[in-house]
Amino acid sequence: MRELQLVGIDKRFPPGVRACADVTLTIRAGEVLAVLGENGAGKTTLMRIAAGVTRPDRGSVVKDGSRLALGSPRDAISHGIGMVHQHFMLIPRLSVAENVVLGFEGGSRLLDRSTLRRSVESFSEQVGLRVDAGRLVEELAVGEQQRVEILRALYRGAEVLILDEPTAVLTPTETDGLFRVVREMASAGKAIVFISHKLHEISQVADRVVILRNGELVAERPPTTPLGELAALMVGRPVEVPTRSGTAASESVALELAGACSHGAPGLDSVSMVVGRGEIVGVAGVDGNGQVALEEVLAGIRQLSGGTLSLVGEAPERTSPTTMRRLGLVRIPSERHRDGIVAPASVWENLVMFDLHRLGFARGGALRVRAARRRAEQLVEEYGIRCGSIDQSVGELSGGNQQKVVIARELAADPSVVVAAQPTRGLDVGATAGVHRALLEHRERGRAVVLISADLDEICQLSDRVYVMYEGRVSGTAAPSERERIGRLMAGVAA
Amino acid sequence: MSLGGGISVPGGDPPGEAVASPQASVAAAPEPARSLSALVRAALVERNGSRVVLSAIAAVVAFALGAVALVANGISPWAAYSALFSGSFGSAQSLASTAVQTAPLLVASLAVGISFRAGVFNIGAGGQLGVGALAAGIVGGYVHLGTGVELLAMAAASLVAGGLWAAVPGLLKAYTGANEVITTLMLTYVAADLIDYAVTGPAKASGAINQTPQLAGSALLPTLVGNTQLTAAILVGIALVPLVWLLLFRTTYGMRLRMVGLNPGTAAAAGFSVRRVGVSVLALSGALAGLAGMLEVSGVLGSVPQNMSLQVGYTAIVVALLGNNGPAGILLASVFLGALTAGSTTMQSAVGVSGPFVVFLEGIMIGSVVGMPAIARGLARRRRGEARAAGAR
Repeated sequence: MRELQLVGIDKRFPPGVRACADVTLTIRAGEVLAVLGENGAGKTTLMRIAAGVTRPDRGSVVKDGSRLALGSPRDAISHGIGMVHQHFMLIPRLSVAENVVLGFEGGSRLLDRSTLRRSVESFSEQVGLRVDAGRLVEELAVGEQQRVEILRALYRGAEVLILDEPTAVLTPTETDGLFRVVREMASAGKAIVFISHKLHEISQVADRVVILRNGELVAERPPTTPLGELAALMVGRPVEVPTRSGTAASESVALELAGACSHGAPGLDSVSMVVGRGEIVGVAGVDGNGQVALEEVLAGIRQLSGGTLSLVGEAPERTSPTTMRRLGLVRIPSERHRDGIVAPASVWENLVMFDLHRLGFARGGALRVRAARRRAEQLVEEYGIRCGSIDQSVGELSGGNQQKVVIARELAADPSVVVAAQPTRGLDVGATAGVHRALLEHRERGRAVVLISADLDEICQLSDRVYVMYEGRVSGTAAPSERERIGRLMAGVAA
Repeated sequence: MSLGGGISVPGGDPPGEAVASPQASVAAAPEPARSLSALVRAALVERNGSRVVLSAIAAVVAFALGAVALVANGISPWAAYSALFSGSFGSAQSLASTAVQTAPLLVASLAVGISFRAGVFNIGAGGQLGVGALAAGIVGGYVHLGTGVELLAMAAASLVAGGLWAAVPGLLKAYTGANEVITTLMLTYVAADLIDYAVTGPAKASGAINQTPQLAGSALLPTLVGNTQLTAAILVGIALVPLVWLLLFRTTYGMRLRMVGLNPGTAAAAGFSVRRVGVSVLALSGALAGLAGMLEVSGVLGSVPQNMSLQVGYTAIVVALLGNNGPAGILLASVFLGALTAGSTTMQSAVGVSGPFVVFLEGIMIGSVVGMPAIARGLARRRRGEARAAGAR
């Protein structure tokens, strides 16, 4: 194969969302093409069309001059087009070898395990992707699972390999490993498509960058293009990146965990942490290393099984969301839809429901609807929440505006500690900047922020100090400038 | 003791059969209950503006399929339906009989609707209505107080009895995780047996008939229009409509209740106790259903008979679904189904179609209200599956 062309691809989704608008794009053998764009820009849809997962309304996929009929992912793979999705499609209880060959076993229905294992292992050596073919997928780390996905695509004869946001789940070390693999595959003549919205990755891995915005291909640039320019192309206007100014304002302690333990998988294992007033303390770590336990302990949902938690000098015996709020700690939850909003309920109800009593909207048992709605109107205005009216249901708002509802509700009370867990996950560049600005302003008011995030860029950009979590423990602390050290700590490597 | 004609519970076996063979019921109970619960949840938890339309379509579908059934039995649907209409709205007398049927149904439906709003599926309003009726019948039959006070005492007894009866599944759910769909439903059979026991034994009136004592005038709700059975029961029902609305939308408890129903996770994060709301809403729902029982005894029956029909408790589920668990919608839907029940008597005498035909219509309506959006959502999900791919771009 020399090149794969997407010609005039058009795709609409009800209601009236144009995911791809007449996109024409060439993918060449031997190069890494980065497809850059905001959430919802059309990147994944475009590539799903190339991989036979989604059918376009118009347009065609052309390989070396001949038009392909792609009715299914199987058709695509038979033409050498493979895709590694954001959510891995592996069967955890099967071995690596079984996952790799699944559906492509050849004629025989009977699988001889040891032969299978040997053939997959020799194939993995051959393409330079080392895996232990005999292990069960469920025992593997996320980075290894991703390698299995890639191996599977190659095993099926992929010449074009599409990777959808492949670094989202990886540690910095794993990311470096992936980049090496990607470069090697390109020099071996494969065509690699790298879907991303992380700008800084582009220069490291890509030969060429195309930028999608609102379904349209707006530009093609070399990877050396300044990040600011790429960001502006993605968003459609210049983006100002909010940054931290000055050093932490005070030494007085707002929140302290000492030897905190909690059950869970993983829970917390003797976590000690001090958060001062006027600082943003970052908690870095790959997802699933105890951040959820930490978040829930701080929010008062989960009880400590050992150690202590003290908040502005008080150490509540039993915690609950209500006691923590009363003591001045609020949370921007990582699971926004589960814990942060009531999607079918109105904007105003979502804005006031957490603080009915504190804000005086409860008189006897009666709800002071008019006062509550006035408050909601103010917050909508103040935080620039874009909604038709305060009676619109929150579920109808964009992700960014839903998060604004949460932030308005939580920050308006000027709490002494904000626990912001994955606060910009799934948000676009513009909305992300808004969230960052709100957190920085809170810090400047002399309040404390605990920023729990798997996004290392976010951590380094906002934090005054960084704790790194690994398997429920604090594996180390670092300054935000020590990016590599944080990366090693995230991987559990002694730094 | 029977629970009245065919019982129209969405999905699953008619519970009547489960009673007939207790062994089978143990094995079969979880399966229909799960699908029933799932179906009910699917229909209730999502709100959309076109609900009136959906309910209207469901009614049309029911009448159309009913017509097919009638034709298949050689009966003119036109004759049957016009008898149904004239029996419910055709004269002052039939209007009164519609109102008589509507009153307890309205109250029981408000009870069911409140619990559905909180995401708690009280399927056992019939049982709560039964114990409420029994409590009212005993107080009215054996404790003689002055006019007015007597009625208040009966109402209080029915509220307490229904509330306690429903609090049991509430507590079981809160502390053991027992599914309230099963426990409330099963307690209905216990309630039915309790009534039979009471009216044949300890609470039996003197005389040959197995029932509680005939209520004296002071224990009967006043008649509104002479020469009809229309009593103040309907006024109680209508008065409760704005009260329930106020409770749901103008009290902090109502907000907690609704938010717990819409998203327990966020409600818990807001400091609302999902457990406490669950128990209290079941008790409240049961109390209202109990009151509906008092209205039946004091407004229509005059005593608690053996084999008292608890069908209203199931029809209330249909009403709550048709009315989208909102007080105004429930008022409309209960008048509609009250009219069907009232008209069925006329239909029976005019064209010989028996009363349970209406229950058949109700069954189709509940199936349509639950099934049509489910099918629609299924189709939408297939489209959304692709749209989500777009969203994840």
